[in-house]
Amino acid sequence: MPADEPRKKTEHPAKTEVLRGTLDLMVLQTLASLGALHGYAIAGRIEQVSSGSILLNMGSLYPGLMRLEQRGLIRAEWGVTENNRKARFYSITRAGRRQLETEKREWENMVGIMYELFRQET
Amino acid sequence: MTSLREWIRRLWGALTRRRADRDLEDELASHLELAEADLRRQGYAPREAARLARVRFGGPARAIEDLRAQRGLPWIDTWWLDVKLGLRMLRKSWGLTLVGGLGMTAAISIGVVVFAFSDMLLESTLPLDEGDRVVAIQTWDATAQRRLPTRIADYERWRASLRQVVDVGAFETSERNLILDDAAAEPVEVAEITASAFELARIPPRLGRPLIEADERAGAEPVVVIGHGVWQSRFDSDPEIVGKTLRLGASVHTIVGVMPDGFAFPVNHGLWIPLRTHRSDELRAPPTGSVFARLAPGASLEGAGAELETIGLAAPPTSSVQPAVQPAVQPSESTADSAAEHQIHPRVVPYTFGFTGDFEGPQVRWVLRIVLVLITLLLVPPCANVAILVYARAVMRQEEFATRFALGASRARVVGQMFVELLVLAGAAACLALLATRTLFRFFESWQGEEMPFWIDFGLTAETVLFAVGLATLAAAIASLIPALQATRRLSRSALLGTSSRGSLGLGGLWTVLVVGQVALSLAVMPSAVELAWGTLRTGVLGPGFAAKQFSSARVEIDEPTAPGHERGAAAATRFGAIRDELVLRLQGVPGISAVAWAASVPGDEPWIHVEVEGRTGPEDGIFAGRELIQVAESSPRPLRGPAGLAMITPAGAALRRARSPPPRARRRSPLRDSSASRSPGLQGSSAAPE
Repeated sequence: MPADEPRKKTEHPAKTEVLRGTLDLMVLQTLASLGALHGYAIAGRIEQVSSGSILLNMGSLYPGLMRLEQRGLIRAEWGVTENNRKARFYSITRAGRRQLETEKREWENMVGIMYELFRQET
Repeated sequence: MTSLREWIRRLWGALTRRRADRDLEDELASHLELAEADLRRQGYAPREAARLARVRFGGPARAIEDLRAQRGLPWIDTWWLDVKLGLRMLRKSWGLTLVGGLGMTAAISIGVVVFAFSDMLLESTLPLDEGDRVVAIQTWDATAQRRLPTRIADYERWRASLRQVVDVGAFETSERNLILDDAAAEPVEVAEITASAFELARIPPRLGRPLIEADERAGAEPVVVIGHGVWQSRFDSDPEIVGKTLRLGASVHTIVGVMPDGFAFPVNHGLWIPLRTHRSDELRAPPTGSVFARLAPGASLEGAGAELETIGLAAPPTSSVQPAVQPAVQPSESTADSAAEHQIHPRVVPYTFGFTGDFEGPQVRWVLRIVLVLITLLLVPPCANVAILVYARAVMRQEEFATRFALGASRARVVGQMFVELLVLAGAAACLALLATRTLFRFFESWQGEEMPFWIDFGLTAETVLFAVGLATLAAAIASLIPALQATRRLSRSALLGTSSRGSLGLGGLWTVLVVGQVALSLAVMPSAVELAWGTLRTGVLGPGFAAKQFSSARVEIDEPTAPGHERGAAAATRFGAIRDELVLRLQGVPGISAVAWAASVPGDEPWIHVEVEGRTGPEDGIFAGRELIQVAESSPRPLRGPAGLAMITPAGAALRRARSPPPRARRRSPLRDSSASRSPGLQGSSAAPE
């Protein structure tokens, strides 16, 4: 989102539907930024970044993580959290980083197009 | 687009379902624990924290279902579920399973056997290096649709001129007596073959050398190359065998080489001697004589055929008929006229195809397709019967279908399930059919395997298995789809009304037509079936029609080291006649023998021969045989000659309708000409046969 576009905030942010195909990008970016994380931490990070607009339940998050793992973009291994709880940690692979770069470029390109379109019509 | 990696991982997930389930449950439980811990840190009571965590992230049960769908291949799970249900239904409806399974097995077995046999005969290639590039070159009579003996002049012309093929050679099969010092003489088949065969085969001998061109020259020392089987059985695998001798008929041959195990080119031979083409004008009739070659590098069958058409025959053929019945008689004027009417040209075909009979390539494939379609239609009667039973069972399962529909199953899903149930049955039938075919082929191999060409593989090919799978799928479709569609037609309404529609599903018009059609079909084929069965069983039930136990028969042959059909062939026939007459005289003097007769073949085992009768055409392009020939003879104004001694008829109790010695004119211009190109000594010896 462009920096000069003020973001409208509300006290109780409305839930936002995750656009089709963007969950993969969000997960990849989160793992690329923060390193290996378990599913709960990934959901928490996305919720935090979206200021609570995007709340991922398990039925959305884990099939997405499994899909990325099946495509070889992330890998998973069992580990222990800082609170000594067993959890499955996901980390981005080299193929995942390449995919992330590609999709980011496409996304930025699309955002630019949409911005120009909206700006001209207003 | 789903990548291959994702498919593999999904397949792996489907195969390791249990372990993956545990991982999923552990991971989701861990997720909820972490959420609860967070909420507790925020001050919530443990129970409230647990409740809020589930509200916030959803229940694990639904998530696990979604994950399972993502993890594996859902259609495999569904299909496997249907298969298990199908197996359960087959066990439950054992009557349908037994009757339907047997019917399907019989129909699929017939189809699979025919397909496997035709595949074996038509699609086999030589088990040699680039064996699919070995071809046969034939002289083809396009009018009569049959192969003719190749003239040596044509063979020489092709060998000198063809560039699209290499290693051009020829062979003839002859039967000789193999005579070893310490063993009784035994008739064996010998390949008289050109040395190029060994270059074409690209298989070096195990011991010694193969035949070479010098062996083919007139006056060269008679040599022989023996096969691995002969080397083992007759010479006890003697490593010093090269240089020793053996007798083939009247001639002694020096053994110059031993071929390795499995080598039996050109057909199924174990002894090879040089072919000396200067001894005769033409090769023996196919398939006992043939020209072969290998496609040159880069050449195609079509290219070789076009080149061969251009080169053509050495000279226009003067006759397309072989004087086998009357070898001493020159072709008559009518014979020459007839030959002129025939379109005779050379053709090149895949080598193995050259042994499948008198067929054109496209023709035989069309015939095969039609036969396969007809055989596939054999599936219809048993599958229609099964369909009726399936429909009856489907009527009983209306409540089950209605419940499934109410729970969200679509009509297609229910129909699909019934299809899979029948597919399980048809699959089992196909497995039994393949097993039966394999058993039959094993039996055939043990019975006739040694007589079959060496390239024939009696194993089941992947194509045959695929054909069986196709038949099983078709059988399942025939037996299931119509009853399933019919039974689920009112499914939605009955499900919504919460009532069973069983009472309204009587046998409708379609089923009446099916039942009536089956009865009509059964009645239509019954006369043919009865006639066929009676024809097969008649001899066994009633006997041959004469006191067969009072008769004995024996086969007499002589070595014929030179090509027959010409002067030497006539000489061989004369020699055979003398031996035969002497044998008859001696046997007549044996006590207990009341009469002695001779014939080219025993009654009931007469060979098929091609004959042309003036003014008459045969049922199939002038081909008469057995009873048909007699009927023609009875109605013919001219006399007919048969290859049997007069005494052959009288001891069997048959009365001659007409008998007289053939006048010279009739000998010269008979209305009946044998064009079978058959040259057995017995037929040649029939020149003195009565009419």
